[in-house]
This record gives sequence, C-alpha cells and structure tokens, in this order.
Amino acid sequence: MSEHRSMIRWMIYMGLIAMLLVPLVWLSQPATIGANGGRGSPGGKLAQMRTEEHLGEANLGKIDPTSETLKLMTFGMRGVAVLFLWNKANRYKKEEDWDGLTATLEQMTLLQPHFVSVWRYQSWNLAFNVAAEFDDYRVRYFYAKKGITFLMDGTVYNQREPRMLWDVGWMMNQKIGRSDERVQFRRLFAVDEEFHDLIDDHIPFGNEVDGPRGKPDNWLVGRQWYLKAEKLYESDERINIGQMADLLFFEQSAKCRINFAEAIEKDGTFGEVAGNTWKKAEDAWREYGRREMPGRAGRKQKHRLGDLELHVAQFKKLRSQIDALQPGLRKKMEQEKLTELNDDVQEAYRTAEKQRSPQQSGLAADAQFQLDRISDKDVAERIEGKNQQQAMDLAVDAMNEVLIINDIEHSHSTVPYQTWLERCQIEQSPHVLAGREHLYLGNQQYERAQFDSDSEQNLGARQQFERGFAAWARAFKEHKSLIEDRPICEDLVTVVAIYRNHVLDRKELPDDFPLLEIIKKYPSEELRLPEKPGDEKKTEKKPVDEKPVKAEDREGEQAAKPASDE
Amino acid sequence: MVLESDIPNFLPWLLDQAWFFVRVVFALFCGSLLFGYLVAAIRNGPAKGLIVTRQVVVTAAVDLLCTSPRRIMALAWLSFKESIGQRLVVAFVLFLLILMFAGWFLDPDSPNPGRLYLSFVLSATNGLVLMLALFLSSFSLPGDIKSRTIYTIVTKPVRRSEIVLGRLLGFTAIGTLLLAATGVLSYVFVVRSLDHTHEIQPSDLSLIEKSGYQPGQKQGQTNYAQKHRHLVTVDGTGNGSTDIQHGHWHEVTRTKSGYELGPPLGVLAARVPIGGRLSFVDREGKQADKGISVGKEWTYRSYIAGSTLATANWQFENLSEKRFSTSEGPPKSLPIALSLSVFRTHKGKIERGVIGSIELRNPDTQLTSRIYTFRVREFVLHEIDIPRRQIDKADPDRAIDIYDDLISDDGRIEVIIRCEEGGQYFGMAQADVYLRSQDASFAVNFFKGYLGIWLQMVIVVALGVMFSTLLSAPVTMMATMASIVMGMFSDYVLELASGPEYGGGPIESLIRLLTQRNMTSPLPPGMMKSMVETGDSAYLFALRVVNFLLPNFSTYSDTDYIVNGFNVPAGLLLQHLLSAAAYLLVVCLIGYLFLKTREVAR
Repeated sequence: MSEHRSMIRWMIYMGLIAMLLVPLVWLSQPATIGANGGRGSPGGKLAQMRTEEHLGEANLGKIDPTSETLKLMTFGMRGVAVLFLWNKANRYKKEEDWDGLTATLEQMTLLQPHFVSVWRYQSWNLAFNVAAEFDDYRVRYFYAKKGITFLMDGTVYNQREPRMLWDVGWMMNQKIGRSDERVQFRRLFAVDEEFHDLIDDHIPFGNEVDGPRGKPDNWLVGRQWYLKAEKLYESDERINIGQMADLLFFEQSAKCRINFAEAIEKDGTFGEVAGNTWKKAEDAWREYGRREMPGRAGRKQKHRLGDLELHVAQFKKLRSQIDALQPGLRKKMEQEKLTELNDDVQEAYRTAEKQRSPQQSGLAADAQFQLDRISDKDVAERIEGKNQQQAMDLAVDAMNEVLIINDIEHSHSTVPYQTWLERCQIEQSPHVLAGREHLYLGNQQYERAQFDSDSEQNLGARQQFERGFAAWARAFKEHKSLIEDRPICEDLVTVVAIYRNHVLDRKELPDDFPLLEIIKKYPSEELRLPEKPGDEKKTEKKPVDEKPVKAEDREGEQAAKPASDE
Repeated sequence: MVLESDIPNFLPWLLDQAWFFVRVVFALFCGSLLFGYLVAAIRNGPAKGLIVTRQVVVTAAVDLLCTSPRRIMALAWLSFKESIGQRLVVAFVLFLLILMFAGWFLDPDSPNPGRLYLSFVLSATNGLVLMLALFLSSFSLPGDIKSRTIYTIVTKPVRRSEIVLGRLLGFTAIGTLLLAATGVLSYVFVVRSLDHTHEIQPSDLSLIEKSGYQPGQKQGQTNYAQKHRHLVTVDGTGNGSTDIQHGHWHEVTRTKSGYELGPPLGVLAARVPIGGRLSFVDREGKQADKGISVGKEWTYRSYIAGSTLATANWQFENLSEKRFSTSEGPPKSLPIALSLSVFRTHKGKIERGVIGSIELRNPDTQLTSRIYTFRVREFVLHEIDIPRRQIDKADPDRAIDIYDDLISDDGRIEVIIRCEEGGQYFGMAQADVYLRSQDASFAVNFFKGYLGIWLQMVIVVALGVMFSTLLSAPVTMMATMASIVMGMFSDYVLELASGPEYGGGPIESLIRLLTQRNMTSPLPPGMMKSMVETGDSAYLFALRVVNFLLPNFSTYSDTDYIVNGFNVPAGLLLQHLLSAAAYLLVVCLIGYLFLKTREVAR
C-alpha cells in the first residue's frame, strides 16, 4: 500500500471522527458553573435533561468523595461487590457480630447511596432487629439510635425522597415512643444531648420540641421530620411518595401531637399543661382535616376529612330543593316502586319496626334498599315543565355531593378522623383530666403499697382511685359518646380490677359504684369473683320438660327426613 | 470470641496431619509419575518412555539433593535487587494513603473502635501484601524467559530447583520488608488513633447515696470525647476508675488541681484464656450433650433455663497457683471471664440484668464454694474475681482455699453456672467462659498476627513462581489471582460445591435462566436432563478437587484473635508454619518439575 493511500485513509478517518464530535458534544457536553458560583453553560442535551428531571448526582443529594472513590475501585463490578456485602451483613447478623454488621452497612451505602430501600431496610434492621438482640435497655437504645442516625444520614444523599424523611419521623416515634422500653427510651432520649445536636444538624429545632420538663420529646422531634417530609412533597409535583396514600402520609404530623398528649399524661403531667397540649392536638388534627385529599379511583375532585357534616348538610339542602320543585313526587315514586315488589316485602315494609319478625326485618331492609335506589336524577327526570332543567342541575350537584361524602367516609374508615377529634375535645374536659390524674396517682400509691391514707398531702391508693372514678363518672355523663370508646373504657376497667382485687381485697363493688355501667358493657375476667358455696342454687337450671322418645317414633322421624329434604 | 471448633493440641495434630501429608504426597508422586510416563510414552514409545521417566526421576533426585544454598542465596539476591525499586515504594505509598484516608471509611460511632481499627489495618495490609506478592511473582520469570535474559542464568551451572527457590526467597524478602514497614506503621496508627483521655471537674462528682456503695464514694460523668463519655466512680481518697465504654476504661487519680484520667485500658489487649470443656445438665438434673435451642438460626450457643436444675459446667484442667501468679505475688482470686447470652421469655425488670450464679467445685471431692451471683452483661467481656479464701458453706467455722481445696490434685476444677430467674435463659458456647491468666504483650501479639499474613504471602509467591515456570505472565497472574480468590473464599466455594443445589449446578442454572424456569420446577425428563446433571456433577467434583488442592487462606489468618484481644496460641502458630511449609514443599517441587521439563531456549 502506498504512503499516499495511507495518508488519504488517515485523513478520511480523522474527518469522520471530527464529524462525530459534533453530535457527541451536542449530546454529552457537561454543564458548568459560572463565575462566582453563578449559572454557567447548561451543557449538552443529556446534561439539560438530567437537570430538568433532577437525575444528576448533585440533584439527588450530597456527593460524597468516599462513595465515588469506592464505586470507582470496584471497576464496574459494583453489583457483585454489593451482593457480597449483603451476604456478609446477613452472616454478621446471624453470628451476632454487630461491629462487623455496622461496618458492612456503611460500606454498602457508600456503594449504593441512592438506593433508598437499602437505607430504609437496614435502618429498620438496626433499630428493631439488632436492638432487640441485646438484654441491656441502654444498649438497645444505642442501636435504636444508630438505626435512626443511619437513616438520617441517608436523607442527605437522597434529598428528593420525602418517604425517607417520613420514615425517620416514624422510627423516632415508634421505636422510642411505642416500644416495650418506651419509658426508659423516652427518658434516655430527653437527656441525650449529643443525639439532639446530631438531629439539629439535619433539622434545626428550638423550644417547640420541648416537653413539659423542658427537654426535647421524641414525639415532637419526630413531628419535625414529618413536617419536613410534607414540605418536600409539596414543593414539586414530580416528587412522589411511592405507594403510600396522601391520607396516611399527612396524618402523622398531626397524630404526633395526639400521641405526645397521651405520652405526657402517662408520664404524670396533667392539669392545665395537659389540657393545653390536647388543645394543640385538636388544632393540629383540625388542620389535617382541612387538608385536601385526592378522590378515590383517580377522581380529580378532592375532599377534606373535616367537611363531612358540611357536605351532608349541603346534600340535604339540594335534595330538599329538588323536592320543592314538585312536592310529593318522590313519595309517589317510592310508592310506585313499592308496589312493584312482592306482597310479602310490601307487608313487611308497612309493618311497624318493633312488630316485625326477623324475616320481615330482612325483607323490609331489602325494600328500603330498593327505595333508596331512586336517585335524585330519577326524580328530576320525572319533574315536568320548566322546572326540569333546574331539577337536573340540582340532581347533578347532589350526586357530586354524594360522591364526596362517599370519599370522606371511605377516608374516615382508614383514618378515624371524627373519633380522634372527639377524643381531643373530650380529653380537654376538666373531669377527664382530673380523673386521669387521680388514677395515675392512685396507681403510684398502689405500687408503693400505700393503699389507705386520708391525708390530703399523701392520699392513699383507695382514696385516689375513688376520686378518679367519680371524676370519670362525671365525664361519662358530660360526654355520652365516651362510653363507645373501647380503649378508654377497657383501661378504666383494668384500673377498677386493680382497685377491687388488691385495694379492696377482692370485696364486691358497691351497688352505687360510679362506673358500674362501664363494667357491665366491658366485662373483664379479672373482675369476676369465684363462685361461693351456696351459689349453686342460684345458678341451678330448671330441667327441660321433655317427653321420653320411643324408639318407633324415632324411626318415623328418620323415615320422614328424606321427604322433607326434597 | 467465637471459636466454632476447638484448636487441637499440637502433637496429636502433628501426628495426624503428618500421616495425611505422607499419603497425599505419595498419591501425588504416583500420579505425576504415571502422568509423566504416559506423556513420555506418547512422545517416545512405551519402552523409551520408561527410560525417559527413570532419567527424569534420577536427575530430579540428584538436583534436589545437590541444591546449593550459596547459589540459591545469589539468585535470591539477584531477584531482590531487580524487583525492590519501584514496586515496593508504590506499595508502601499506597498503604500510607489508605491510612491517611482511613477516617473516611471508619465509623466514628462504633462502640468498639479498637476492633474496627485493628480489623481495618490487618485487612488492608493483608490485601496489599498479597497484591504485591502476586505482581512480583507473576511477571518476573515469564518476563525473563520472553526477554531471554534467563539465558544468562541457565547457561551457568545452576540447577532449576535453585532458580525456583532463589526467586521464591528473593520475592519473599521484598514482601517481608513491606510487611515489616506496614506492620510498624499500622501499630503506631492504631495506638495513636485510640489514645485519648477525658476530663472531669471536681464539681461534676457527687456523693453516692445508694446502698451497695462505700461511704465517701463519688460518681460523675466525664466530658464527651471521641464520641463517648464515661461514668467515673472514685473512693474517699479520690482515686478510682471509669466504667467500660467503647471497649475500654480509664484509671482516675487525684491531683492537686482536680482529677486526672489515664490512657484507655483494655482496648488493646492480648488475653491468655484457659479454656475448659463444657457440659450441660438439663432442667431435670440429668447430664445432656448440649443445652436447649431457643429458635435462633445460629446454633453456636445453646441455652439453660432459669430457676430449674439446669446448669452449664466447665471443667478446666492443668491448673495451678503458679499459672495465676502475677508480679505482685500469688493470686488472691480466681479470675473468670464470661460472655453469656440472655434470652428472655418475658420482659421482667427491663432496667435490671438477668441474675445468674457461679459455683466452683472440686471434681474429685465434690467440695463446693459459696454461690456468687451476678447480672449478665451481653456482648462485653464480663470478668468476675472469685475470692481465693472463703467460708465453707457446710461448715462456717472452716475456711476453704480455691487453689488448695477446690482445684483437685491433678489440676482440675469445675465452674458451674446457673440462671436464677424463672422464664429466662442463659446461652453459652464452650469458648464463652474461660479463666484468665496473666495477659501477654499486645505488641508481640500484634506482630504474631502478621506472621499469618506473612505465611499467606509466601504461599502466594510460591504459587506465582510455580505458575510462571509454565505459563505466560498474564496467564500466571490470572491463575495466581484465581488461587488467591478461591483460597480466601474456600469455605464458601466448598459449601457451593457440596451443599444443596437449589436450581442445579452451572449448566442447569444457565438453562433455567434462558428458559425463564424457576428454581423448584423440575427439568423435563430425558437424555438432556441426564447429560446436564452429569455435567454439573463433574463440574462440582472438579471444583471440590481444586478447592482441596488450593490453600485455605482464612486458616492462616489470626485477625480474629488480634481484633478480639486474645493471644494467638503458640501451638496454633506452629501449626500454621508447618502446614505452610508442607504446602510450599509440594508447590516448589511442582515448579521445579515444570521448569525442568520446559524448553527455555527456543
């Protein structure tokens, strides 16, 4: 081959390379920062897309040189390295080598800093599984803290993941505030200044997280994390929370206040402080109730949990407006519908409720169901004349209200909004506050075995319990719905059982005992007294008057059976 | 420290392994002789093949017997000079960089920083030295053969065995230099990193008013340093100690200006445990092989139930007062170290540990000591000193002495542990309870750990030299690297090659992947299935053979001992040395035969 040809070939290749550089630069040019940190060049197409979709390393979170170095050192075999580390971590956990486990988790997250599920799973693993392996509650707290800290560190690398922030709040609440060691963990958390400083580096907080004793409370600190998660989620519509419903996502920040109020009462804070705390809880809960939630099945119409009564009233108003356009039409349509049903059904429907047999009650319910199917649209269609259009419009509005009401009721079945709202209101009652305080003090005296003392400065368990029961009785009288609150009532029954079994030394409760109605509604094994001798007469059953059955009669019955089966 | 199998005594081990070694070498010798004859027979015919084979054997015997140490040293020195320059400096600088940026990779919040740092430096050294050994040994001989500088050697009256041994010694010397340098640097790094102290002011201390404390005792918290603080307890004189945090504690001394805390103690230790033999008594008082299972996946520990007749008994042997004597004189107590596990079936008192008890017993006379109660502390080393002299519980007027009365004439004693709380369980393995004699020197122990790394390095060099006598440089490197990887993960490979095969071996797995078939559904019956299964069985058999032939590097690693603060037993070191020497002998022999049969000049 001549030199000339080689030269031409070389020039052609160089030319092609130069031509290819043009689309390459258009595609891959990196973005730059301008002078003084200002905006420089937006870069090529890929760099622009990364910026728009927030997919660049700098957009996802902190860029860690250690992490980048470690990733480079794997020479493209990051997946293999991670698999190896996962196996190693599982082995360390099995063999109870906690130092090895935590070191391996650090390495794992250095290799996969943006893999959210790694952070979430391993933080939960540390806080719940590994912590439970220890006997000493202080070491359990240390590892619970380690799990929470681990996840907090993960949020720095994934700054567009509200779910991670939410999880930090959840772990801080659940692990410290709801575990078996919650008394100890809350106490340790309150005085753990180093942990507070660590949290403060992520979410600066001031006195707003302090409990009644002037120390940070885990519920309120967790709430800060929930608020941060909410703020992030609302900042950009492209940010999502995965499979989690908005209803549950936004619930927790308000629920923290309720849990905090409950917790301080369990710690022994009552009176005005507790009342104000419940008030704040009510306000937070109402604010949650005012938040717009998306409709079911992708419906665009939003709803608010706190607006149920409003929408029910609105619906009733619209219905009455429809009925006013042609009075008596609805009743007439109902009658027409009723006549289409079976005679039995009609008769059952017409029979007074108290006089219906069980079968008739079922038939009447079916009839009512059929009558309820007469919609406002059906009524509007039957309205004659110029009012029909107006009736149709009203019917459409009424139907929308029904859909919203259904959405709200469905949300209420997931988050018992009304129940908790009432609870917040009831807990502010001076009778409830007094009742709780007396029972708390009574319990303390009981644990010190100081059962009886009339001294006002140091009332015994019996006196405290009795005052508490009286206060609760007044509370039940004031709030009729309180008797339906099973958790409160069952807790009271437990205290009554302690009072009866230990303080009263298993004597019968007096007939005028203030909470007798509660005990009857929520019976407890602990309150049942053993049967005394002589009680057999009371419980003796009368024998059933039964004729002896002759053998031939039985045969007749058996012979008749197949006929009746047909 | 977890010891899943006993360390055998040296002499019984030697006898057993020596016999095994002889059998293996004999099998290898016969196998290679047969193989050599077959090759020679194919090349030269059966009769001439026999003559050639005899010639090779005789020449080899002469070569090996007449090997000159002087020539070996000369070749070693040559290899050393050629290789020392750049590679060693690069490796050392790399290690320095790793140490400088170690803080990036080490968790500052670790509750046991000593373990973390020691583990880090030993692992980093291990990796670096093996890499150096790999590159040194893989490229040298093939490079010489390719560049024909080998002619300057083979044309001299030098035996092939001397070439192999000379290379091995030379590269070993370089690796040893690097290991020594990194060892010193690592030691300084660890000691300096862990060295710290705390401060406490007199105003931070307050009198203790709880029962169980002596009058005048004070307690308080130190400042927060190195991610932790200590609880200080001092007596009336102002002297005392801190609690154990992050695996260490400090001594506290009174000074004119206040209190001074000494350096951290217990974090870098070399404990010398005296182990015993564990047996169990079940809840009905009958002897049992092991305790009960509480459902844990890892069955290393078994459990005894509380408030029952169940006990865990350790019998210790060869004990004497002399073993526990210190520089201060005869022992005043019997130091027992515990590392028990707790399993609670109910919460009980959350803020209080589960109570257990210890009793000592003479196995011959059945004389027992008082019962000492303790609260279990998990995952930390819990040491209990049983006072030497105590009142006999059967006869209050009589005093008994542990060393005179409770240790039998032939040096045996039993330690009986019970759980004293109903519904709770204690878990233990044999190595969880031991008697603690005088600690060894941490520095010496640290460098004993490096011996294990050195042995691994020598084996890698030997493998590299062996492969390089036959293969080209890149292939040698790959083969040596594969040997290192297989050696590091030997247990895992063995488990893979012999354990249950979910989804079959490699061929079946490939078929399942391509056909999207899950692991549990069977392959369609027929000839293909038989072929696949046969192929996989053959592959796995070959894997087991290769795994058996290659050295298991993890057996040479004493990192666990150093990291957990235990002295590496001398018997174990001797075992490592002898097994490595046996391995080296065989590898060098194979290398010699390869080089002997190879046409160096083409």
